[in-house]
Amino acid sequence: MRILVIEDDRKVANFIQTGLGQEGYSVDVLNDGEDAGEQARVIDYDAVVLDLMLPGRSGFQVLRDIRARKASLPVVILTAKDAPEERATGLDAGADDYMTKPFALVELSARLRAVLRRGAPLESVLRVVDLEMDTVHRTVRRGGMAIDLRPKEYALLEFLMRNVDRPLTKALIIEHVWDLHFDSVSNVVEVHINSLRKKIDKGFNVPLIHTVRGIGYLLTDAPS
Amino acid sequence: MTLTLRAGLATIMAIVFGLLIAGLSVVSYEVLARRLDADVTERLTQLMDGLHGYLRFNDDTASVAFDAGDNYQAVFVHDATRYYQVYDAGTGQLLAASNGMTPLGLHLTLGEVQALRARPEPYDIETDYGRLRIANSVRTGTDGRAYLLQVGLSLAPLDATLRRYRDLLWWCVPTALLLAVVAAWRLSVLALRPLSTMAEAARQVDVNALDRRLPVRGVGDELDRVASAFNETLGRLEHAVGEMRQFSAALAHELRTPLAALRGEIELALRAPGASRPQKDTYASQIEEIDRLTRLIDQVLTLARAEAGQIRLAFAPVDLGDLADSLVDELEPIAEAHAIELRGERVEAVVVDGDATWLQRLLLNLLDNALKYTPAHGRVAVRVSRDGDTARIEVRDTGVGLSPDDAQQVFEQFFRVDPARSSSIPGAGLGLSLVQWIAAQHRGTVTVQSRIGEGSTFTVTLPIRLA
Repeated sequence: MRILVIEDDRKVANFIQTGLGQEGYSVDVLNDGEDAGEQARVIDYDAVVLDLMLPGRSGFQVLRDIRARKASLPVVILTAKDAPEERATGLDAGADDYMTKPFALVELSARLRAVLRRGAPLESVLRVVDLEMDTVHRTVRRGGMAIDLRPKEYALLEFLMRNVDRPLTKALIIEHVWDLHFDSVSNVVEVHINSLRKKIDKGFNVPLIHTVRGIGYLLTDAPS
Repeated sequence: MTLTLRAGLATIMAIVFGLLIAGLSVVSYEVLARRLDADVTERLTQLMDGLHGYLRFNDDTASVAFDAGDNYQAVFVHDATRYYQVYDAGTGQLLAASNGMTPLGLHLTLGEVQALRARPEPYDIETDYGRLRIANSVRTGTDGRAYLLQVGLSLAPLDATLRRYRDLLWWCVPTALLLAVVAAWRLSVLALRPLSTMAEAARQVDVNALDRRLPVRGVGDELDRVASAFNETLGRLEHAVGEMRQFSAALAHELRTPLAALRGEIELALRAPGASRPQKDTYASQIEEIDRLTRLIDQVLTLARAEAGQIRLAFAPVDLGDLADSLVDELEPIAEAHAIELRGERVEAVVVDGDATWLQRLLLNLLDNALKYTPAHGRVAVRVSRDGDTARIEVRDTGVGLSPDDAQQVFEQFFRVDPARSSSIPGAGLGLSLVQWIAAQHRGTVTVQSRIGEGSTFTVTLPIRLA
């Protein structure tokens, strides 16, 4: 997987390059948007990470350049502005996702995974060792025993299972399971993770839901 | 304000007009009366002086002798002898009297004759035919005796003229006063119209329309100067707000980008395989602090944008009851985790014109606050009701409560209650400021009633219709 990162702040570009590199992506960095369109045409990238505030040229212009040459190339926008209108403008301009600085690397990679597998059919049955979710019938079993979940617990578990072995940040979880405004509600993720733990991990030898300090939460069967 | 000013202006003008008209009437009446009176006196003097020349004395009688062929003499004597009488000034004997005088019963006694001889002043008397002015003079006759001559002139024509003039004023003055009031009102409207125009234009100006200006008519009068001064102020304000907006955008960028670099580098260090447990703990703690700082920046910028008028609400019908019910459902697990009983009391469906997203934020902030400040085994209740044209949302808790001083400041930015009671509770003291802003955007209010140790009730009132 090859990713093009267009970001003028060298430190930010650097950690994105290193972080994504550690996850197995090969990353090219451009510090301005001047040649972005041309480079996207010549090299067969799988996705683009684009900062909106570039020197000289607005990120929206760069986005149009890229779209003009590669209409379906996934683009994740990175911005220092968090106004909801900005987000809407970015998505309207043809971006596939939108992220506000500062952000977690795991969030960037989660969003990249999402835009990269866009269009691919979602599996209807998810399995992590003996935990099984049937998304058609909306049932959850562990070790063959049916588990009754509340709607938010179910949505949270589905999000964790679709990102198995990948840590997820609280912000990402809130955005997927609730909506943006719930980020002001204290403990909303912790409380639901705890109740989910009681239902799927309690009484089993191998705990599946793990807290990654400083990062967020992770569903995995690998021992921590 | 305009009405009061207009009424005041009109009243002053009406009073001034009224006083002028009334004063003019009184003065003109007085001047006319004195003038006419002086004319009568002058005419009487002429008659008196002339008549002396025609008087002839013969023993105990006096007679008027004139040339009947002289038209002038005849007319003069006719006028002068209409009311006259002659007395012997020494004995008081009546020497002659005109036919017009006799029936008036003005026969003088000796005392009266002597008094008039000493002071021959004119005096007025009332008769059945109107007022009569009588002039007196003492002369020495051809026979060497002193005699008193009285000549009268009727004041009836004078009185009639004055009466007619008075009647005229009686009708004219109120009419003129009425006209003056109407004119004063019209004039004040005319005078204040530019002010009303200016007020209307000023009302159109708000933080989102600072490019508007008041019309300057270019005639260089006082109102133009006010409009120009106001426009200059608006210009400075527009400039300042523009700078502030740029500042908050720049601030966002300048803070977030280094924070992003910082957070990313720490995250990389946290993932590095060689990191020890204590190192990882430190990194994780630093990331938590950066996230806290980021949330604070988000909140501050949201409020700054809100107050700079950069946030536009999208109004549509919103059922507050449904909104409250769904949020109670969402927050129920959190309440349960804190052993708090959370209930929704929905009296009726209350649909208001509002922005669903921001109203959700308002209710979320209030409920989150209530849950944060209510200890275990407490209760939090939401109630939605309708009171006429007003929707009411109440969020009631049995939490720690607020002192009266704190309750007054609770909506201020960065206000947090006594640190001893709130240090363990997360938040920057911006949630309720946002609640207040959202309520205000819906032309509503938010208030709090609270008692330390008993709990608080936050009440939001919103108009059902915005129009």
